[in-house]
Amino acid sequence: MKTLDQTLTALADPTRRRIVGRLAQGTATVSELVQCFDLTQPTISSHLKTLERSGLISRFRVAQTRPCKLEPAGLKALGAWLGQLRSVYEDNYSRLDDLLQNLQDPDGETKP
Amino acid sequence: MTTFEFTTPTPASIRVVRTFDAPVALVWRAYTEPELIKQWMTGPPDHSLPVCEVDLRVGGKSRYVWKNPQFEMGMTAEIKEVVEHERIVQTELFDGWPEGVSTVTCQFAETDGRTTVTVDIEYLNQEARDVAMQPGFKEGYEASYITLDKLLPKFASRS
Repeated sequence: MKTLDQTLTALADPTRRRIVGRLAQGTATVSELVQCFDLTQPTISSHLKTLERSGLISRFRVAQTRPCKLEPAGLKALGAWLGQLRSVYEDNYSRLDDLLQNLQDPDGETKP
Repeated sequence: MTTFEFTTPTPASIRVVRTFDAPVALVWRAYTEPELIKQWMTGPPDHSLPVCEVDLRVGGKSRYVWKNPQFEMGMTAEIKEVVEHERIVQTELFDGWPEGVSTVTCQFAETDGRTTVTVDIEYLNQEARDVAMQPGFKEGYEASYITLDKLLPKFASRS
């Protein structure tokens, strides 16, 4: 849950979502991201730290640079959580169907 | 026949659409009267909703507690907007998860005696909203617009 909290917090910020969107198209260095978003290097670095802590991205080393890439694991945790939320809604709504039917026809036979 | 849609229009929002075979007045009651809510909004299997208090007015606070034999989860909601038979907007805060605060918009629409409920859950905090309202932001955002619907299958299939 800890990672999921961090993932959602990370994605709640629009600039970080844009960075994730950019990295979905391929890896990028800090200076490439600075150019891409017209933000200062410290701002970009701060966002990258948050994204890295959340498990959404990781950084690797190529010569003198440390490019960023998206991490499948972070998104998988989010996917699992979304799946659970979806089934909670499906279960709730199935019960709501029965309740609405009973309210409209209180003397009728209850469907199995 | 019922329809069910569960989508993520943006990376920090979820939309759930469902049609019910009942008029809006009845669906509204099922959504706003605690004794009715307790009968269906019980969540995952083996859970119940023993606490459900609803204060249906702007600024009103509602309290929900779900329980199973091992576990208890509470949620406090504050109502921001309420239009009878049309719309409820509220912020929802789960106990022990302050980062997970969300704004939930619930819209009701009746057609031919059937009611479609559209729930939009947004995990955007106020700070993020303020940034999003700045001039020029929208263009930049849309230029690199992504949704979880697009991202998740890509990564699920890769590993």
